[in-house]
Amino acid sequence: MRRTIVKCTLLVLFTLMVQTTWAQFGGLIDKAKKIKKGADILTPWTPDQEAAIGEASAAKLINVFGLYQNPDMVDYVNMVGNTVARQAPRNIQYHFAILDTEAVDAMGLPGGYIFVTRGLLANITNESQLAGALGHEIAHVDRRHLEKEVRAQKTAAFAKEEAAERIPAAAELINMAGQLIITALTSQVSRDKELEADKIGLDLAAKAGYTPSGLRDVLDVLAKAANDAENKRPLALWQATHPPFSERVATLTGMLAGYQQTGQVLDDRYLSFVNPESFAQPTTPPPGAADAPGGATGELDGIISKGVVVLLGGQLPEGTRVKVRIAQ
Amino acid sequence: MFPRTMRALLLGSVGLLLLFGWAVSAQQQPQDSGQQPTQDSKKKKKDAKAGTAPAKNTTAPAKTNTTTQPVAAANKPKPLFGGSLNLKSSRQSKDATTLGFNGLDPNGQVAKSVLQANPTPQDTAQAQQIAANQVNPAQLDSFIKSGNLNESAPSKDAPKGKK
Repeated sequence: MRRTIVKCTLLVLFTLMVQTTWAQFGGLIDKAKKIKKGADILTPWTPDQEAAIGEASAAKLINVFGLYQNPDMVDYVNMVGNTVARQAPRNIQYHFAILDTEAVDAMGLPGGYIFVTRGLLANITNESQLAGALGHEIAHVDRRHLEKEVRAQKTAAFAKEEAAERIPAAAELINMAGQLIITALTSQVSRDKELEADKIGLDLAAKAGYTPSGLRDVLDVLAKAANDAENKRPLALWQATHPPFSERVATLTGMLAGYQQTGQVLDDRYLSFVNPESFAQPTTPPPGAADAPGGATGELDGIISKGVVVLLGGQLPEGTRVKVRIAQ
Repeated sequence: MFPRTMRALLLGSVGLLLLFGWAVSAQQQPQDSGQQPTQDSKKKKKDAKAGTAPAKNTTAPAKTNTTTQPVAAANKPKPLFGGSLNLKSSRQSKDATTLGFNGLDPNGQVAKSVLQANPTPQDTAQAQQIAANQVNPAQLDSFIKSGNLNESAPSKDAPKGKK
């Protein structure tokens, strides 16, 4: 009987000890895991990983908006962008392109892919404003902001690639690019990162020789435009993913106090390359675009013959979209 | 026999109690130190809240100023895409635009169906084309000179990343 009591007592005491010790070391293990996670976030992708993920993300973004293809205008944006990017510290080749949407936005993706929208270009009035906007996006890429955002989410696909330290396979790349673009288009950029990109972007444009107020000026235009309900749609994407215009304008105005207001504005050069009105006048509309505002409209008489509409009063170019209103 | 067993039992119990006590005290230590960061973070949150409040205040006077002053025509918000459509140059002959808010829903957000779609081979080819498109250094120099911009550039960092 006594032996049984002794055994039971020892067992209870042993169990208690094991529990408390496990709780203690279990906490340490969790801490070690967290430290490793933090270290992973700070380790950047290899240049090859970044280039591959950037290219796949660029393809995804093109899939969403389409590319605006005007070689002269794209070359001009590349010239301005590279003039600013020369001043950035990180050694990376930047590529600039125009997205075919009236949404006012700009985006910097890993691998140096920088996109501005047709909508943003239409509302910029000089080269210094474009340089400021591109400088802001270059700063995001230079500081790997989007990379840090998505890697902090620690989704399965990203964790897997990081562990392997290899260039992901095609299917994995598509998955990763999808997650990256969803983050870029739907998540609010952190105020700290935006502030840092504004500060660096302003500085890069100024160092390139542009007037430092370009970025502030374009945001000021958009801040005023945002007061008009008519502009809700073109600005909605920007407003959903960025801090308020007025807040950034106020911060940038404060930063400008530390700069001399010298540098180039270059409004004539901007307007000679970028013609905002031309954005609404396509001369080679792709299929499905002829019914858009600005396309040819009017009425022509016709008759149904063997199931086909035969025009009686003239001809229309091949591919013209029509609506048939039955007269009789 | 009995005293020996009792002695062993007592010694064993004391030893285990000491171990138990050490384990409990060791467990409490990190909890105490763990409370500090949470208090700090609470403080930081409070500070952050206090920090945002003045920021809001700084924008408020700007608004009141604009309401007291006569509103200049240039300050009035304008539709972003409401201008006349007169052409200024013939550059648009190379345009291939589809007009409108491609990819966006009526609220200006990217439609979920568009977000979930995979890029086509054509999209990938266009992305590769963008990557292949590099600015000619001589043309860039000429562009910088013609704009009277800064011709010098700092030396670049070496590419960073895992090896």
